[in-house]
Amino acid sequence: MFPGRLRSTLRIFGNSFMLQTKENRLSQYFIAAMLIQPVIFTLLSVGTYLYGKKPDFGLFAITGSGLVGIFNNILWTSGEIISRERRYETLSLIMATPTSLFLILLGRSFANALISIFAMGMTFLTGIIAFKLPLGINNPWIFMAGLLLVVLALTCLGLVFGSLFVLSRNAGEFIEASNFPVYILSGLSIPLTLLPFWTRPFSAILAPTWGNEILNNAARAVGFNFWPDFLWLIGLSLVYFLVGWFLYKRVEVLAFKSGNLETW
Amino acid sequence: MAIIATQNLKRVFNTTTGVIRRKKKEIIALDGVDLAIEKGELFGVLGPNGAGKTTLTRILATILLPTSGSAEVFGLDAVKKAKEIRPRIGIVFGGERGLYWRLSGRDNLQYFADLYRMPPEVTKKRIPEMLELVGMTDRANERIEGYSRGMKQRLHIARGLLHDPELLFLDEPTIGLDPVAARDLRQVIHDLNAAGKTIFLTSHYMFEMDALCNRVAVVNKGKILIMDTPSALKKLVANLEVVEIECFGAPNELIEKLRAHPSVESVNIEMLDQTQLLQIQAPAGTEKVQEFLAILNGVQVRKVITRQPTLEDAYVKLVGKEGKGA
Repeated sequence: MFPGRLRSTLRIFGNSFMLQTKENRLSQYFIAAMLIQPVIFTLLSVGTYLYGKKPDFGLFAITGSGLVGIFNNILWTSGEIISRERRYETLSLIMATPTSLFLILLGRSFANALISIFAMGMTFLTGIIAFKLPLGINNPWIFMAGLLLVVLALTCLGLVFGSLFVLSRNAGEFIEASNFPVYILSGLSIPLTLLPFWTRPFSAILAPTWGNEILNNAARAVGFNFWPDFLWLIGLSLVYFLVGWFLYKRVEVLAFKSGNLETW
Repeated sequence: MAIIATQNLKRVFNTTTGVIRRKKKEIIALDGVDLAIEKGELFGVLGPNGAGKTTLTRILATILLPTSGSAEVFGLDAVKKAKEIRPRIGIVFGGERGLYWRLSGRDNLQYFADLYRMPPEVTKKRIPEMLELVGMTDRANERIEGYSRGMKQRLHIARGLLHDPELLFLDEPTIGLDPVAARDLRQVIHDLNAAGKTIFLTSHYMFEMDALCNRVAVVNKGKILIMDTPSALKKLVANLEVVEIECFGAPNELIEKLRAHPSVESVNIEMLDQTQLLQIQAPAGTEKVQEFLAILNGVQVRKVITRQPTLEDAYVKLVGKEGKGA
């Protein structure tokens, strides 16, 4: 039996998850981002590699496009949660409850993240149907575990970015501007080996880099040691989580100070 | 011990204007507010738009920090002890927003019950009770987006009361409601107070304050102009009478002439559908109606009446000759 406080915390997490799922079900943006965007990304990236006569990169392009879809959805929707709260004018009301905003957003971001796995499915489906690529996965369990870890890491990263939306309604522009550098630095759009060496530290602190590595190896390699990548990804998730938690503490105070919770 | 106490409470908002030559501007929303509200009171804050009512409510409800001064709720500092205050207060803001439109009324209440960490066995009983109280049981399973403004407002009340708070903040709860819905809501507020809840109510409707409140603070430009019972406030204008002249488009210069008349205390202008209603306060028994009409020579007059002053007139007198404000 859980102690009462933990039980109510789990209930808040669960109901925040459900709230977000119900909201997404009716969001045209979310549906478009789940169905259309991954298909377009896949067509563009796989098509580019095939046109360049590099069919070996087909799977790389598929997982990369899938991760782009997941990353895009998690980050954008994490911010969108706050923007929507501002529009509904519920942000100040939920911040006036005894529950921390961090816990509420954790549940809601996780819902977005979990649903965004669908984007990966869409990219595989596009690869099979449009390009007839042989997309067998050698290590399906490692692939699935890796995918879940990536989603967890990106949920935590989404919380870090989401905190900016509490402070400013213009945070979306910053997120949008940071999308493509992240795609490049994480090796989602081009292989990391093509990037200059000085970019490596930046790549190393981005969860999609390791997610991409794990998913590609799980799909293609035989007998590889996945633990270093897994541990690195778990470590990054912890760092993102702690940074997000710290930021929300600070951001809550700053938002109460500035009094802009209803501005949108 | 007072349930709410503020001392020299001040809140300044900083804004910037211009793109290239940005200028910082300070807006003083609250300017040295002193308050003491006792348990069980239905306390009203009355003032025009921009007077500082919402700012005061938000500071007391722990969702806005004051710039200086102190605010205590239940004897706890509203800045440092916000977490201890929050489970004991309920907040209801006026207007249509503040709910999740894509969820049903019941789901909205369920979600807020969780955020207030209410045990499921309590929630199970409390949500139907609250829906019943605000007359929303029949529509509780429908999505909010299909609700009328009055229904949303009633659901706000249910949400604010869900966790059985000792103190309820109602910020212009009847704003935008049709007269019947507003009357019903006033009855709910009255019943809640009769049941022992302390209520902090803001409004710019004078009759609402008159009908509901034990005490009223009139605020304008961030300051409390006066704080007393509605009947005591009405005594401020007991020696006055109000001449109401309904006319079609009186020019500003004539209104200024009216204001300059030695017997005129104040002139308030209310815009009706096609006409203006000039409410002229003058000492009782002066019978200056003919003189006022003479000043308005050439303006088409529809109706003239002389009446006893109300709380609204006391408010107009206090807030200033510019009328009800912006």
